Amino acid sequence: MIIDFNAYLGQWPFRRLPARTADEVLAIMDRHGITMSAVSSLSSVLYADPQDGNLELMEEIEKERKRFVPLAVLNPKYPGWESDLDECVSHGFRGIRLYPQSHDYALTDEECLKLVSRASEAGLSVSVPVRLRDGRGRHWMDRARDLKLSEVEQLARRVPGAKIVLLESRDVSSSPIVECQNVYFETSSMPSLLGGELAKLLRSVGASRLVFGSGTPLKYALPAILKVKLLDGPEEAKEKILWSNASRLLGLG
Amino acid sequence: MSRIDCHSHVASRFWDAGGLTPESLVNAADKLGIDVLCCSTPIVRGMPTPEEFAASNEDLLKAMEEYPGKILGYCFVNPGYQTESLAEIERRVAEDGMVGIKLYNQYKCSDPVVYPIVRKAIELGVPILQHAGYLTDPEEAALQPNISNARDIAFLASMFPEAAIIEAHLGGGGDWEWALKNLRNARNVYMDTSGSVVDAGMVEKAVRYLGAERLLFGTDLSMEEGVGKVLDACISEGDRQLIFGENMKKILGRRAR
Repeated sequence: MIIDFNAYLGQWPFRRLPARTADEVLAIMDRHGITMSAVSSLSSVLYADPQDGNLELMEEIEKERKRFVPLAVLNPKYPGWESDLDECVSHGFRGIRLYPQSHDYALTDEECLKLVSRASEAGLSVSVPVRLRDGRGRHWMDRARDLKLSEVEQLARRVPGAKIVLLESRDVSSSPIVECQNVYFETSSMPSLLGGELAKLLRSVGASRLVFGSGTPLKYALPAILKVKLLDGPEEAKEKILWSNASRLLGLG
Repeated sequence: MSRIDCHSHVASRFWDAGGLTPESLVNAADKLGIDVLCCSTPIVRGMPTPEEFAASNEDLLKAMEEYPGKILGYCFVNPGYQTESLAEIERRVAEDGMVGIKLYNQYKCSDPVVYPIVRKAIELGVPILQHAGYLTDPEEAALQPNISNARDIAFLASMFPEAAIIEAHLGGGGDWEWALKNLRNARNVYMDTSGSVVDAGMVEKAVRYLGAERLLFGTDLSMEEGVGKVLDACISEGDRQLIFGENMKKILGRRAR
């Protein structure tokens, strides 16, 4: 069983993606044996009002609720996030995703701290990507910065009850952020072979704080799968990474 | 299906590559079914002297001797030292069995200083692996003011239609779509698929623009990404075989003996 904690549906304006709809992403999941994917709306990253993307996502996955777990994109700087959060919870969203780089705020801004606290009280995990694309070739209208680990660390310390999932991080095993017990790490950008970053992180934080993600449909899924399969670690740890930790974070039982 | 990694590296006295050893590289390659690693040891900052690039190539030669047939070598030179570069290439290819030439970012490849190197490559029947990128982020671009981009490479290729030029890292050279559009009609330019970027659809689009015959599998030490993106691409099995090894095998077969 595999649960993908780092997947998306919707439009990405800077490049044509080979899969955008639920059916197209399902085909990728089926090809790779991915049982479920935690998805958020890519459109919400650039919509002024991300709630419209969340509602579009709900419509898109309506017939496939057993395969897709919705995560809500919210912007704490935009009015109405409180009621948007309530609405998302009532629709069965199981977590939130934040894009401070695109929505132009810091994770430690007061409004963001309030949002993270409210989401955590509602039992939702909070995922934040370090980046959505490699900055070396960014589109001229895409000025989003890479997130600094220190910013995530501060958020984790200021809201200790939050369960924060850091997506798309690379070299974290020697960073102080590993000391934050409420931070989980998604694995798609960490090599298992040369450098062994994933194995180092496994030794450093234990298997319970690692979750598999692929970046589908922004990225090919197979490289991320290979990294976990080739990880130098016990099968029990791989099971935790591939699905059981995600299942717990998403409240799937 | 043989897998030839056309873009890899071993550590040298100038770059420790995070503790990389020939053994760790070969072990990683074995786990991913990579049969051959075409490696280089470029000096990536400054203007390396002939003594320095010769020493760097010496370190590569040791790795080749440790893993004969598994680790092959590209001779790295700084074209600014023309006489010494030509002599170094002659020695490393003809005597030491290196299979190509590696150029980095000391000069743009469209600079006439590079032309004698290309003539030598044609004479010896070996490819040039050109470090390249179209870096749209100004901070990244400022770090490599003389990095060659696809337009520079297409220009060089038009000057020397007999040369086999490999543009490095589809997945590590910035805007890869820009690169593909510039290389579409540059028939003697190959693109390697290496690099950490695994944007979904990139291999398929590269096949559409260049044809599978002009794509070469590579990792640039991003091992899982390198193999994963080619395996995951929605292309025919025939095209996959061309990319994984058959194209590079043909290129390597052109070397004058």
